[in-house]
Amino acid sequence: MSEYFKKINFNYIIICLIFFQILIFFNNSSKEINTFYSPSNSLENFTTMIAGEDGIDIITADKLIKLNSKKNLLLGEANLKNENYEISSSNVTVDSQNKTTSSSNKTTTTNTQGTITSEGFEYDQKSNIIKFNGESEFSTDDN
Amino acid sequence: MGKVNSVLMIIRKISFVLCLFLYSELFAESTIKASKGIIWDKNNKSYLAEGNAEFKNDDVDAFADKILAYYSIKDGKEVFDKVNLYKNVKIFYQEEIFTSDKGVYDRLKNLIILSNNVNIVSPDRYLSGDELIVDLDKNTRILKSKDKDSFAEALIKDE
Repeated sequence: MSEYFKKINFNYIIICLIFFQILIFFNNSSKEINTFYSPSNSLENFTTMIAGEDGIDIITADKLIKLNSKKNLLLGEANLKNENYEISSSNVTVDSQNKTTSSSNKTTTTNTQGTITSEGFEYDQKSNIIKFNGESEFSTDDN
Repeated sequence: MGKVNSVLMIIRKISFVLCLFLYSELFAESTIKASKGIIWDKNNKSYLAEGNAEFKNDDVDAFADKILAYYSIKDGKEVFDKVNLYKNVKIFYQEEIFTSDKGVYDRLKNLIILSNNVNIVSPDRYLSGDELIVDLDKNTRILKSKDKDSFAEALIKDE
């Protein structure tokens, strides 16, 4: 009698083990797939060209980090250039939804008139206005 | 032979001085400074400087709380045409200091027009009124007062 119970218990244990084995197998394999298809959220030595109102904008940065679907951070030295002006700054945030580009770090802007130095900038593409924040100086060549 | 060499030296010196003069004329600079930032409005072709703002060029050195400078594009380059000054306006021109509440520096007409609480301070005179028109080409100043019964108008011309 005791031998009979021992045999049944052993079968249950085997069935349970196989069940857990299957569970572990599927659980692990799905994780692997997720990791494999997870997109990279940063790019190093980033350069891109965007067609804007002032011609083609060329954006270069040490590193681009995707903060979310609407915001990107240009980490390190960043440069925004088109045929009318060039903005050089660091740690620049690009908001594609609100069409704004900004930085709170030292900024140097050169245009056809001269050079503007400031403690940061905010560029609103909708209104075509660039705000140079903080202590700012604009030196021009008027002739 | 010695005379020819000295003439050549003089010509070289003159041409060097001429080059320096032309260079300074070609590269005359304007500067806008502000403690609270500068706003570049590309649609309205203007620069707005806020907080201890200063506009400086070869002719004038102007200070105000707020400066709005308009530009036009000539030969592909931006050139300042008109500079509006708001609140605590102080303009240094040669030996004179003009102060007022509001001012306009018209670079095309070469005029400075100041209004409200206008004062002229120079080494030999102090004048006050309500409106001042400074013609930089003719070197004249026309000072007007709103109160016709009292000091009506002053015209001062420097020879």
